[in-house]
Amino acid sequence: MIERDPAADTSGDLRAGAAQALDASASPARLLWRRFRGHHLALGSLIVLLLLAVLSFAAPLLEAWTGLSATRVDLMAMNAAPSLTHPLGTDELGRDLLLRLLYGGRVSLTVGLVAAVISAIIGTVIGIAAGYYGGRFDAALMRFTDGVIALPLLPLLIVLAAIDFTKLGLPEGLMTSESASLYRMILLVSLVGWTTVARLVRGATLSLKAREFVTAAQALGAGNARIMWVHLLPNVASPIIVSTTLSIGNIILLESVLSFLGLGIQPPMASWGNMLTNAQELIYANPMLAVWPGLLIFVTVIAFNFLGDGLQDALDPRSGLQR
Amino acid sequence: MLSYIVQRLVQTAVVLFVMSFIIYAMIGLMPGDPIDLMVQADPDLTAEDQQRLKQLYGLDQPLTTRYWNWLTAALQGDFGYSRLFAQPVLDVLWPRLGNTIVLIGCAFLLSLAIALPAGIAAATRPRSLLDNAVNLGAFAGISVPPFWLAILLIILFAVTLEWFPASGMTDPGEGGLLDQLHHLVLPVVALTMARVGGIIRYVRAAMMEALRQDYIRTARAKGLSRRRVLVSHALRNAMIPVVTILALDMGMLVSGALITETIFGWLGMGKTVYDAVLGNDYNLALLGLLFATALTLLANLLADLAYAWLDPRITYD
Repeated sequence: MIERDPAADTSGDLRAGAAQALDASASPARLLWRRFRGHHLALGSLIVLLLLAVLSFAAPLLEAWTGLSATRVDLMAMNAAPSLTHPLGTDELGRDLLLRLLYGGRVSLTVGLVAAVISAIIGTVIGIAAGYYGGRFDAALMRFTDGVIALPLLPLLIVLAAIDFTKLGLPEGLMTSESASLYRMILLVSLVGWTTVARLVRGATLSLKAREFVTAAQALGAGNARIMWVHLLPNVASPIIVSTTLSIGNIILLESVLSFLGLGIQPPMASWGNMLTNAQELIYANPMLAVWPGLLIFVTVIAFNFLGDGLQDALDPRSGLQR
Repeated sequence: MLSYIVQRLVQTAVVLFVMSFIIYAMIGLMPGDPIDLMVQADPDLTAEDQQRLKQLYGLDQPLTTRYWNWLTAALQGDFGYSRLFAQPVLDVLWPRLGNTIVLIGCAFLLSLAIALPAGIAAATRPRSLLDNAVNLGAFAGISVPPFWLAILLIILFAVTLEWFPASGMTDPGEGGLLDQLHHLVLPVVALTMARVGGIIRYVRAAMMEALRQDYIRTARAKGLSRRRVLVSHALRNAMIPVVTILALDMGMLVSGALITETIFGWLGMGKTVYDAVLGNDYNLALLGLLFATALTLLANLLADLAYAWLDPRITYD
């Protein structure tokens, strides 16, 4: 049984919201920041993620300053314990583990952010078009979306990851370059990652298009494209932002799984996933090799999830009442 | 209701048919083809031999013709031979499908046994210490890389404590039921931990939504016991969205099983698909993928039927 009345539970929030609304000097952005700041886990997550991003993308600088290398094989220092020169020790080939982790972070964060944005764009286009035009077009697009959602994602991705793109007529140079596995990863994840945004945007568009401001715009002679771009898109921005943030974590997980299975990011390029591939065989020799990359994936993904949760509360104050 | 079932069955069959074509085309895009493999095995083959072989196996035909040939053979029960196992692919896959269903089934039941009480308890005491703890645990559960969790389980329970075997399905020379169960523990725990966080969140959200409804207030006002309000009024309604999510989640469970099977050497379908893709075993990869898809579609179908059965407001037309 509920001991407390939910309405009483949230009256404090309501009063706070009213006080914020009365504060005339507050811009929407500042109000947003104020609400977000109150969500301590999300704020902490943002700081952790920024720190991780700065360190990861500064990895080449750190490499130059310290004289260590993330790629140089040093057979005299295999599986070394943590020391001053190697803060986290070395891996089975004597490479500095910390630097390799930072390089892995570059790859994981890049794949996560880029693929999430591409997925969001695909999902938004499909969702707005389906919701706005409605009818058979909507039904066809949504059945297609349902179909994609229902598929066993990982087995399919494994086959997709093995596909030989030159058979599709893509230039061989593009697919054999060093970053090919990175591009391929982003492409694959974007292909399957758009479904959540598509459904959210469609739902929001369906209810928005019946509103007066859309009718007014139509009466004033605005074209379909203009209505979707100028009138509908800004109104569905909040759910898109929240769901994209939440999807970054899932994408990083997916990337790490595929890389772990040897089908994602290819060595010598380091990613948190492929660093764990060998770790399983080295459990006895150097168990820490299996701990660090996984821990970083875990921390990054949970930080993105907290961040998305906090953004949701900040962007949609009503959702806070329902928690 | 009957016409609804028939309609959904036909729909599922159509989706499976479309998927079989897409999967067939995708497998065709995997590197190399069977003739390349023969050339590797026998360097004496000339270019004319290769051409002749291509013709013999119909590989020079357009995609649609090849698919049609495959489909007519498949409908008669002939899915071709597995390169890796030198057996008809059906003979390879049937027992493995069973192994996967055992793994998934156990993990599914264990997840429910954890998620239902945890989600309900959290939903009835929002923002309490218990709710926060459950929430944090669920967040951790959806954020942890499943394969890493499996490796940690191996380090802890197989390497350090030596309670359970690290991989395989039976010990050599053993193979009794107890031995098999002993090997099943770690994979099931790994798969459960990877999925249970998400399910807890769904249960909690659905339960909170149900508890906000007017009929709950009515039930309480009537003086019904706490247990009755929770179970027959709130839970029954909360189960409707949960069942749908659970079935949609079946696709994720099949995906998760692939990771678990690969790491623990569990001879299931996921591991077979993975091995087949890496080993260029086209026939096996094709059928394995089809089985995985069919399993997921079947779960979705069952969910829709359960949905219709649980919620009398839905009309079937």
